[in-house]
Amino acid sequence: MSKSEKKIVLKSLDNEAFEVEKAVALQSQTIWVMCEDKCVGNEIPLENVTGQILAKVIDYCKKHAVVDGDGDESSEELKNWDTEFTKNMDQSTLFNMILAANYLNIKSLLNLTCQAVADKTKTIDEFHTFLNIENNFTPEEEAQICQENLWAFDD
Amino acid sequence: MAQIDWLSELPELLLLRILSLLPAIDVVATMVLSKRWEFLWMFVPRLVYDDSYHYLDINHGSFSRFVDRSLLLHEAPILELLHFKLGQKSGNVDIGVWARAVAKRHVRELIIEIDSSSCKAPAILPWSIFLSRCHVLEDLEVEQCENDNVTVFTVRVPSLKRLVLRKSEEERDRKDGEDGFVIDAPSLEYLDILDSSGAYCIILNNMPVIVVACFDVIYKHPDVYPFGTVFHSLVELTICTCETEWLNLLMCLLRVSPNLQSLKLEQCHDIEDERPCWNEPSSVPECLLSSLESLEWVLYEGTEEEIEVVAFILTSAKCLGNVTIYPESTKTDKEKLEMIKDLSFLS
Repeated sequence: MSKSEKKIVLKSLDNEAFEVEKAVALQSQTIWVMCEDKCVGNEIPLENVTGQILAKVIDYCKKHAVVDGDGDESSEELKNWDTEFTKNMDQSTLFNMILAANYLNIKSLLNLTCQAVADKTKTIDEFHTFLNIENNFTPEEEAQICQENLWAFDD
Repeated sequence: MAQIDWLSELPELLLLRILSLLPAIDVVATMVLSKRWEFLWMFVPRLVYDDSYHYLDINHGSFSRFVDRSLLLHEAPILELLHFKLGQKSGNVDIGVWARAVAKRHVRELIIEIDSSSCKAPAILPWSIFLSRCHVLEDLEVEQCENDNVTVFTVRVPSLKRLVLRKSEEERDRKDGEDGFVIDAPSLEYLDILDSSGAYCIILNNMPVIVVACFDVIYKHPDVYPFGTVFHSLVELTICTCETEWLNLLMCLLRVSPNLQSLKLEQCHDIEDERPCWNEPSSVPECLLSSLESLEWVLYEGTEEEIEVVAFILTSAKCLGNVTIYPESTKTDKEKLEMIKDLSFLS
């Protein structure tokens, strides 16, 4: 009984179920509030997150729960783990991780994933290529913006 | 197959969060990305202006103009952070004008970093204008470094709650009494001063709501606070024991802090001066009778006057529940045993 209370089941948008320690899941403020409300049982439906993304979010939470509880594992090690975690994520995963972190309200994960995007978009060209932002200005419009804002592009 | 414009699919708040992590020059440049991005940069809540970034070829004038224009066009109702990193390219920028421009924008956190080694002339900060016009400033940290041109640093901010002053260089080519702090901040709750330059410090007003005060200073002037001051709200006090005068200062402060709960004595510097003599006070300070709950002593040496202080506090404090004493680490086990014996006689 007490053992099962320590575990919690998270169900993804595509009906994938993940059984995790409560301490791991409660890093999400959203889940924390749901548990506090007691309007959900031991199974929590997360309607905005796919199983593929939820698995990654849980990896992150597991890592951070262990380290926070332990206290001895160096923050350096954790930082390296975080860097590796986002290093090879493709755009769509990173994008979905940001949305998931935002929806689940996990502040440190939101910071990490936003930082990962920021690190990859240092220049305007990188913005266009990495993020596939479609430029819907006509060449004339773009030239006009640059002309009106010479102070911003003067280099 | 058409590629998806992932980032543009994000809600605005998340886009702003990502833009907040970029330097201001890159943030502003996103106006040409697409129509949706044209005005988004104006609402980014954190702006970091770094004159060494992307500015390798441009002169001081265009950095200054960039800051002027982007601040002028910026629309966010609240700026969470405004950070200036000023080095070689900035020269004598009029940071006062920028500071005034943003004081109206409810800036929550303002950081000004000036690399003085790369400036030909010292940077001039119009503190008086900037501080006295800022009626909402609650938290101020100032670290004065070598070769700045500030002699008297005046903090006159009625709204200030937390003040940290750092001034550490020892070799200064100035006469006594030229450098100093003047503090007029009646709402202070937290005050932390570290000053090993021997500057003076004048506190112009009572601090009726002070809660935490840390002084780590060398003062040549004996009057740290006006005669007759009573620190009604002071509950936590740390005093360094390195100077001969520390014992006098301790007794003075105990007398005027009737609600002190926690006292920490710590030897933070090497002791060179004579040790003070203990004089049994004629009366017991009120805080010992009614409020002092904990005493912590770091780098206790077990000298005669130190034993006397501990004895006095232990015998007169009525509600002291917690005493922690850390001896010097260089003491041998035998010396430590002696200390324990000396102390055990007191209890």
